[in-house]
Amino acid sequence: MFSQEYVHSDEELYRFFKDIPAIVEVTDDGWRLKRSAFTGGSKDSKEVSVDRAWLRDYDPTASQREASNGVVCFVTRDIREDKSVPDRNFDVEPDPIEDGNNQAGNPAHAMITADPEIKTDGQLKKLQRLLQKLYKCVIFPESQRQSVQ
Amino acid sequence: MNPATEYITRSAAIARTPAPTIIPPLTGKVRLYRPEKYPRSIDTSSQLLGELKTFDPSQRSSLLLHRGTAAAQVEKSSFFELSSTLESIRDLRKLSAGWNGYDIPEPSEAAIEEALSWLATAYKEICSTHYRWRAPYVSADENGSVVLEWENGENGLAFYISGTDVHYLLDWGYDVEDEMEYGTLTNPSEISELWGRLNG
Repeated sequence: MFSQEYVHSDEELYRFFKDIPAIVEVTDDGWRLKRSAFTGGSKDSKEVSVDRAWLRDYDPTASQREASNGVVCFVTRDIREDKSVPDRNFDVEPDPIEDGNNQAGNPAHAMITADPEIKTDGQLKKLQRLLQKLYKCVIFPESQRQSVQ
Repeated sequence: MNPATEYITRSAAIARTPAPTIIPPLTGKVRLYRPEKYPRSIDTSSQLLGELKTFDPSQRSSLLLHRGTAAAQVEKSSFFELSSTLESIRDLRKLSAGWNGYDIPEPSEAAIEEALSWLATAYKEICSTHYRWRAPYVSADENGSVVLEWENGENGLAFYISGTDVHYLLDWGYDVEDEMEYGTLTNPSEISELWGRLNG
């Protein structure tokens, strides 16, 4: 059983991405996501936003903003265990968003961060590249759905 | 004519014969050109590629007028090899703030302008290596920089072009400390070195 206060290493994480050429690259043998799929979180933050799957009832469509969006999935352990330097591990921390300012809340929201926090571009670029290597797609972008039917 | 004389005569004839003209392929493999026939002074970055910033792919046919010289072949090859990337960089102008669904700015005009120019430098440097040019994936990042990225199996290379400087990230594994390298380009020659490491 997972808890609200701590992201367990077995937890799955969802992140949506838009189906546009600046993110989805069509290749000779299919398609791939560019690093821009893993760029950006909440305002003025270098951390990367994700949703905790169990708080979305393991329904990745709940993480979509639009029906055309794709959704990728990570396992928290893969993100935490990558780093070889113990005091600078990437981590996933709960960051629930409350209702307000004409914005719907998101109790499943979490951030991929680092300890110490991500301050340099280099750290962030490495995190984005790591996510690009680790992701598994659970909802294909609309333009690619026909290819798997 | 005895065999020895025939050999000498043939050798002399061969020596007098000009070296065959090697027509450069359209794949941009500049390294295949004979240095003495097609010296490295063929400048693919200055005058010829300087025009790339304003190159209109719909006018490609006009390039056929240049057919006939090695330099023109290189020029044509460069235009064709880079045109799709140039279009992709220009298309970044269509993106507005929050374009990827998250809180990020639009790609900056300074970064786009710089990327359009810098591409010619990168092309020239990459063509000087043993490994052929491949078109990059083009996108932008959370700073408004233009991102050019390549993959080779598990290896990856990305350049982040901000308008004031160019950073790179080279990776050959999952360990962000020991198998990823982030830095700032200080010299164009570093591009060919990074390209060699990506493909080596």
